[in-house]
Amino acid sequence: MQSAYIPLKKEKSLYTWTGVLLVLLTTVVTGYTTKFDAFEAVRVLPGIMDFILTDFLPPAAEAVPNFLSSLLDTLCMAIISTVTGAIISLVLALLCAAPTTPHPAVRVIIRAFASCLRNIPALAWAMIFVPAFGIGKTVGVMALVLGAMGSMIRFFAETIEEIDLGSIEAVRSVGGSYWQVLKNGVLPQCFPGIISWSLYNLELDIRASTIIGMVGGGGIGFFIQFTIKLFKYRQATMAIIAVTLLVLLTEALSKRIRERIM
Amino acid sequence: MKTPNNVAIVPEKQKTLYTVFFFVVIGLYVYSFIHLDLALKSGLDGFVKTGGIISEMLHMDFSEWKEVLKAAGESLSVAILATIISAALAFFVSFMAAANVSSGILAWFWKGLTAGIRAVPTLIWTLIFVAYLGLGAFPGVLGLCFHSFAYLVKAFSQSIEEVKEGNIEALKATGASWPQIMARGVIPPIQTALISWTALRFEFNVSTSSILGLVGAGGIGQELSLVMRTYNFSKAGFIILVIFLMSFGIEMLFNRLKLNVDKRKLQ
Amino acid sequence: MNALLEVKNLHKIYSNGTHALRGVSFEMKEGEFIAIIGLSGSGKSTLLRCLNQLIRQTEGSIIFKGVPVEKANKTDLRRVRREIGMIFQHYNLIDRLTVIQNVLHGRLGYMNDLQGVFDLYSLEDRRKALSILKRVGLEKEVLKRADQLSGGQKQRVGISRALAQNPALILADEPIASLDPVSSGVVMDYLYSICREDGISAIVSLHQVDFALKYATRIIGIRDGLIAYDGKSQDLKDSQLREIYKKDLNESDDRENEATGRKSAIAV
Repeated sequence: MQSAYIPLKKEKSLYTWTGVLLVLLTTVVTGYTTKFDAFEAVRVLPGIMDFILTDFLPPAAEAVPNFLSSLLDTLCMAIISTVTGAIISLVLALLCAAPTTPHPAVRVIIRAFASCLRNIPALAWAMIFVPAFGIGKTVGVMALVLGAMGSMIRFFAETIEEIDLGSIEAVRSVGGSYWQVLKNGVLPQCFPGIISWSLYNLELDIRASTIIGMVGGGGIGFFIQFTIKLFKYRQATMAIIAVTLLVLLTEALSKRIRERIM
Repeated sequence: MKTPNNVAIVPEKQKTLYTVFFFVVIGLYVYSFIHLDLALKSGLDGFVKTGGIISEMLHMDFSEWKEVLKAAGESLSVAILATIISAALAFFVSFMAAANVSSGILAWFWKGLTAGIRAVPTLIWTLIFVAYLGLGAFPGVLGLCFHSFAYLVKAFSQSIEEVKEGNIEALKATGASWPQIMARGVIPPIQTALISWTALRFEFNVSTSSILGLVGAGGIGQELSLVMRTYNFSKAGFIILVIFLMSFGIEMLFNRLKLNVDKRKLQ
Repeated sequence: MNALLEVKNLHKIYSNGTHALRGVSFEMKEGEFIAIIGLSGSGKSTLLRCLNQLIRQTEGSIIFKGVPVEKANKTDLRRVRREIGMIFQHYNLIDRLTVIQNVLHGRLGYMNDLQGVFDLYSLEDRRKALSILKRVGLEKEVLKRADQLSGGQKQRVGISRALAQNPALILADEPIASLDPVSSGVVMDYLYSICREDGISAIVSLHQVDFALKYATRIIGIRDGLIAYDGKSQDLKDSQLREIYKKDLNESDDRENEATGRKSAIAV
């Protein structure tokens, strides 16, 4: 205690300060490359607020019949994609997870496949399908299914891998077949997690399906993009509010159900 | 030993809940199917065409790689900048949104506001900003910021609310002021969580920034929509590859850094 | 001599209707070491937390060093709190931080916001923290993370944190309830001897009556939100102890026997 400096913790504060410096540097660099002017952002903000308040409000209630069917389409697309995606993902996850996979090569292939799905946005998939299938809800659903599978396969596989292997051994030791092991050992443990994650994905899919229309996937996205491009802002607002309500409703419902299940 | 043959997939007491749930789901599914009237007949034909498209994409056209990489860099910058800005702002606001350290009304206000902002997809926000500011990366950054900010406020405030009450009590009892209590008692336990949330959001932002261009916000999304419009699949293939690599690269990077985020804890 | 602490007619009714304190009044002079005993749920914890306003009382006044605590504004309340150190049953240390960082939190009440937020403790403060840690026998654990310590060590850090405040009064809310008998003894020894040496007054709530009798000069027994006994420890009679710990008719008498049994053992 004769030293003049008494440290408070073991690691050097140098790490923290270098980190902070790095972040600041990155901010400046990326600001430059995106031509983002912080001052302009602040200056522009009141203008944007004004823009929104005068041009976007009040929402045009009379526009509702124009997009109501699209909205319904959006909802249905999300439901179909999530459910279909969940079923397919579950099958693939079972083939991919360590305890239940039939062969290591299968694991690698499915993981690569899932990685492709996960890292390519659903909208990109939609753009690939439109030239082949034409514009419409079919494309939307397919793209959404692929997008949903991207996140579900890995999560389901992880859930399966985390189960307690004891129950699998128990069923095996009394001579259970692969299917019995599945039903009695694996599924009971991962089911709540799977349902929960699927519900969470429903929330994501609703959001995704509202915008997939912008690349030709059907649903309300097209209406919103279309009305904004044609300066019919108030109609767009009405649709956006409808979307917001749909999303919030789904979130609330999903939350309630997930709480009951877990 | 009684064989586990009678293990039900779902716990007994929740059986009714699950049954109802499944019937509802099946019902909705069937309804949606009928309603959407999906053109399944065109299926086979479409798949053949898709095959053709994909094989064309795999013959990638690298000719304009400089442009593409530049655009990719722009998208990446957008993602980085938006994440940093929104994280910084969300950090301060989250203290107002957390019920255990802020007043009830303030918390309610911020939670409600951010829930509303979050409910509107990023792309729609970007559309609005493009309508006002014109094309370019700038509205993209703003759109992404908006949504990220709302998301991170929720995530951060969730972490704050998970701090042990004892921590706050103890620091209050020493006579510390509110900022001191936050800095010394609330932030240290949640440091790692905050960084994990930000990293998670960053991954998402990288994916999203690549498609912002589809509504005119520049970056690689704009490149993609340009080539797709002319049905130039070989060029598109290369662009999609770049998008994939960016996203995949970040994913690998974070796996290495082992940022443990329990994604299941999301909302 | 003016009283250090005056509590007058303290009432606390929680939002769920529980009437935890039903008119508690007492005075405390400097230098006293008071033990508060009573059943769980009798109001001990509530009483302690009202004293430094972690809980606001529904009615009644608390005057600390001449300052009516419940009427204090933010700044004055900080000043009051920094003179009152508190020790908790569950230690309430910031786990990720080191021992010395936790102890230095005791100085926050004397520092301005900027210094406190950025860990800018003066050399003087750091030296002081080290000497306190030496006193409680933790000089080897100074840079250890708080969650790597045993229960007894954690509580000693808690004591150190309170001491770092240079307090006039220390409140201890069941400080040894989570500890084994040996660590309990160690902790109480340190607490008692340091308070005596430094002239710090203390109010300690305990449910182990034997410890209470061993260390305290004055015992306050609380039952159902009211003071059932207030006097010297040697004057506490068996019957009075039974009153304090008496449970409702349909509940067992184990608790009561335990309490009285111990007393008889020590009284020898």
